[in-house]
Amino acid sequence: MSIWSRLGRLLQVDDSILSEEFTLLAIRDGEQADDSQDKEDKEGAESEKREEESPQAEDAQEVQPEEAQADKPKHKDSPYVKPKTLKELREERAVASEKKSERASERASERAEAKHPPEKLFSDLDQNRKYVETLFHLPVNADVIIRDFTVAAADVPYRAFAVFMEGLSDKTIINMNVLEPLMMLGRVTHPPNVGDRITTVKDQLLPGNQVMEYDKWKDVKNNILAGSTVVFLEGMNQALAVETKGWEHRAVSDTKTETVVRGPHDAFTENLRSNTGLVRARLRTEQLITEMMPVGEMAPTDVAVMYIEGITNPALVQEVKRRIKDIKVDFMQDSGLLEQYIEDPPVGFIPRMMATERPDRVAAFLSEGFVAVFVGLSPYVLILPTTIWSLVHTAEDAYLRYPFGSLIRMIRFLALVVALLMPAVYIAVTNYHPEMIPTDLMLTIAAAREKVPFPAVLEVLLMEFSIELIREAGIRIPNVIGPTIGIVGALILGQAAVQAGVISPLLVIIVAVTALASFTLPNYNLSFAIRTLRFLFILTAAMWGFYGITLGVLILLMHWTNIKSVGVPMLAPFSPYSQANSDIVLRGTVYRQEKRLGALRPQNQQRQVPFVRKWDPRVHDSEEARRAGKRKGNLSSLLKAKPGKKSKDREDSEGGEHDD
Amino acid sequence: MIRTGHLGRIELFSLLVIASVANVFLSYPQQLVLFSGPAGWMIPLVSCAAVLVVWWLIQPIFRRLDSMTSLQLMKMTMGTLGSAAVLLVTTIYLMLDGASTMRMFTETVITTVLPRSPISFVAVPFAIVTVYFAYMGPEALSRVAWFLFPLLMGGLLLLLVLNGNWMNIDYLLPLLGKGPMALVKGGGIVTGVFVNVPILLALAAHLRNAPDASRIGFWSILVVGLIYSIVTLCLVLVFPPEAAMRAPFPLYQLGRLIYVGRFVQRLEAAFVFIWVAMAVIKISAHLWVSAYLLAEMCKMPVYRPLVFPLVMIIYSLSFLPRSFPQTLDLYNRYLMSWAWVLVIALPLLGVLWMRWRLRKRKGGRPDEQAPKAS
Repeated sequence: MSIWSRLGRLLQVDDSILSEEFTLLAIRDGEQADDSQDKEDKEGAESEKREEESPQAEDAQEVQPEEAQADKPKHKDSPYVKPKTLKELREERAVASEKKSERASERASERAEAKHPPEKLFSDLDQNRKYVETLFHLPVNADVIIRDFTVAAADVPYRAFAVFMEGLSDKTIINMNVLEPLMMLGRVTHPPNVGDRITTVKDQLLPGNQVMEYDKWKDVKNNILAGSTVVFLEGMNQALAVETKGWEHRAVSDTKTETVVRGPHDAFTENLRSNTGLVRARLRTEQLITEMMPVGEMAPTDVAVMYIEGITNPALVQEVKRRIKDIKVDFMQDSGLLEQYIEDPPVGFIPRMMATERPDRVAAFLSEGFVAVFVGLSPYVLILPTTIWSLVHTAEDAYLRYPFGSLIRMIRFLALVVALLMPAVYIAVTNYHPEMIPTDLMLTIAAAREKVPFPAVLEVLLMEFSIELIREAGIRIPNVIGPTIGIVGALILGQAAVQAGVISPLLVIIVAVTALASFTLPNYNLSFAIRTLRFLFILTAAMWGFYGITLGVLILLMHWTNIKSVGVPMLAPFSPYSQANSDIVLRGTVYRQEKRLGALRPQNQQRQVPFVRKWDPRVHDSEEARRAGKRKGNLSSLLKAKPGKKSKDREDSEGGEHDD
Repeated sequence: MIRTGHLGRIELFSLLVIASVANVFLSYPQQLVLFSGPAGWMIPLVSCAAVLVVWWLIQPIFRRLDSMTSLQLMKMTMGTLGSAAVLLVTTIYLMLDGASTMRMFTETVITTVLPRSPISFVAVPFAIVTVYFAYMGPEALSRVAWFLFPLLMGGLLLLLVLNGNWMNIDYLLPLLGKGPMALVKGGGIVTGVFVNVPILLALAAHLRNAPDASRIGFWSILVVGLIYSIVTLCLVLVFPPEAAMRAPFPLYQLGRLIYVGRFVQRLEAAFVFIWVAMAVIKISAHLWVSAYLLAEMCKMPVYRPLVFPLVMIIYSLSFLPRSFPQTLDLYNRYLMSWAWVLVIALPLLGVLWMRWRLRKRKGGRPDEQAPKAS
């Protein structure tokens, strides 16, 4: 198209341009596939029409280059269209409706075929190959590879083909352990065949560690999609699935969001089996169960539910499985999505389950009777149920000695309160209750705020918004300039804002401490909740001062009291009160934490013997020792009273002591 | 009435104590000093002893509550009309008490922290929060009460302890104040603060084990009596009786006095949290019990629809007095003086009547004839 014609086109009104625009409106059920065909038909019919109606125009068209033909609107080529007679129109409509009904019947038969696909494999190899092509949309779909070959059998070679998914399967395994043995080692003398071809191949030719026989298309399809290689043999209505999974994934690396100084540093990765393995490597018990259940109607994602048989409450496991099974969705992308599908009502900001990237935390929670849910290739594992207390805990609390574990935990709880309320309290104090501040400090604040033209609430909101911007930008920007943004945001912006008289210097301290406090919270979702709630508290404080903050805290408490995580109140074991170890706000001595969390109703509540440090001389005077002594005394008196049962009772008492 | 959930023992105990103790932030300590001068702190102990005796007479009824609620038992023994009359009177009292408490607390908030705000600006959010609390039901209410219990009691204790430097033991003399008769009379009247008794009678059926209500009642009465007594004692130790009689919000006055070094001073605003939290819990409990009793009386399956109209009534009633002094006057003259009739005397007579009627039934087990607890 020349420059002149382009310019000319700008100056003319051309309604046909509208019809050339891309639109999705025409695509309806079943029409998409036929779209190109329809277009071709239409174009064919139009060209025929043009041929009949204006041969001169056709000659002219032939002379024009193709590009120009495409650009030029159709009605420009044939300015005069002969009106059709009624008979012609009727004939055309009849032909069109006939074609339409033919296409509709074709589509209906295709749909019926799609609805009722063959359940079992065919005996004919060509038929199987054809169905594989149909199933995986070959040759359009470039990811599915079909490798035809001949099995070099000792007697008569026969045809076969292998199907695998490019990128999901390990090519070395396929070459060395599937194709090479079948194509080259078949001629080597084997022990006499005892079964059919499939048994011979499975038992003698395929050295893979997992080879399974399948005769249903559903199993074959799932195995191919999971990365296995499926081998079809001539004349067999069964196929062999060889385990050749080997897609690229990140190796186990350091934790990203739950870093500790003392304790393991490995984190989950984007591989389900590696993740379950990391937990199993720590919890080496045959009672650790992993139940797999695919979620997703169109593209199933493997979801693994892990728990310890004999400890975890079966009702809890059932409920988790029920909620997961009830999810009917095309595709489950990540644990973050699954979490939203299965969380308890009512809606609220606080997360109802813990997402962790630490295998040691998952192992610890499993041993306490919790359930872990692994989702496909997500590096975060869900632990449920959870409590608000445990959202503030970290793995390191347990690894440190109890005074320091308690200290850092208290700092975190304080940080939660600071992150939630500090800007609101600042507004309340400066606006409504200045008498609370010591006089000297009040004068300093007043002097600093004298030049600031905004009310305190606007100041706080401006700064909070800026901090949120810095935080969000820090996540999105490339790593190379990430630290620079921190410096620019925190130092230059803050300093400049104070010098410009937009905010007071004290507010910079308030906002900085609040931001630090919210970074202290170990759970990402909880941190989000607190950040959001902070804005609500700022507004209530601006309107009602301390009174507003108090009412806000009461509403929040009432909400927190009512929310549950898989049926367990999130403020348990404090409210509702139930007996628990000293591991809620403070971290008590580890050797006195004898019971599992009662709110979970575990099958076995005792996690260690009550009298665990028998060698400690101080323990002999302790309450545990007295109780243990009392039990022993009772038992011995019982033994004296019933000498006939002596040996049996002694065994029981010894066993009971161990069980305790 | 559809029953959902169960109350924990310690949670219910906290709810009862907070609901009864909330008035200590209002003019009660002042009234006690007015009754008996420097011996005002002994009045709650006398009341406590009296209520414990009453409770001792009431508590055997809880053994009957395993299979039915106290209200069903009441209907069975008093008849529909008799029980409806008792429920209606109790509901009216609770609503009046709730309304006066709401007015006094909002006035206190205005006096202490929001002096330039119109009263409706303070009362409306208060009413909304109480509706939310009452709507969520006694289980959630009791859990919040238990969660706040250590904080509120700790804060109250701190408020008293931080005034230690102003206390003077000489202010306690004469020890018996206006004499033993004034103590006894005051003790009788002040039994009206023990609203934990009627609330417990209504809520006992929600416990997992109804007979536990007996122990909860004893302990809550004891703790409530002690708290009133200790607060009044501190007030008398800090202010001489003449000054204490002129303090309409004694705890607010105590909060204003706090001065420990340069950085711990004038903490009355910080204590807003304590008294507002207590007031919300108290009025929500009143609101819930009123709605529950009315729903039971009208044979409604659920109480929740009643919460909204009842709070509107309480809100409107709270604005009936023209001023805060008038509210205080009406409260002291009628509600405080006659509360004992509804809080102690009516439950006592009712329960004694029920026990007598039940004993009269020859070998008839009450649960056989009673409608099944839904």
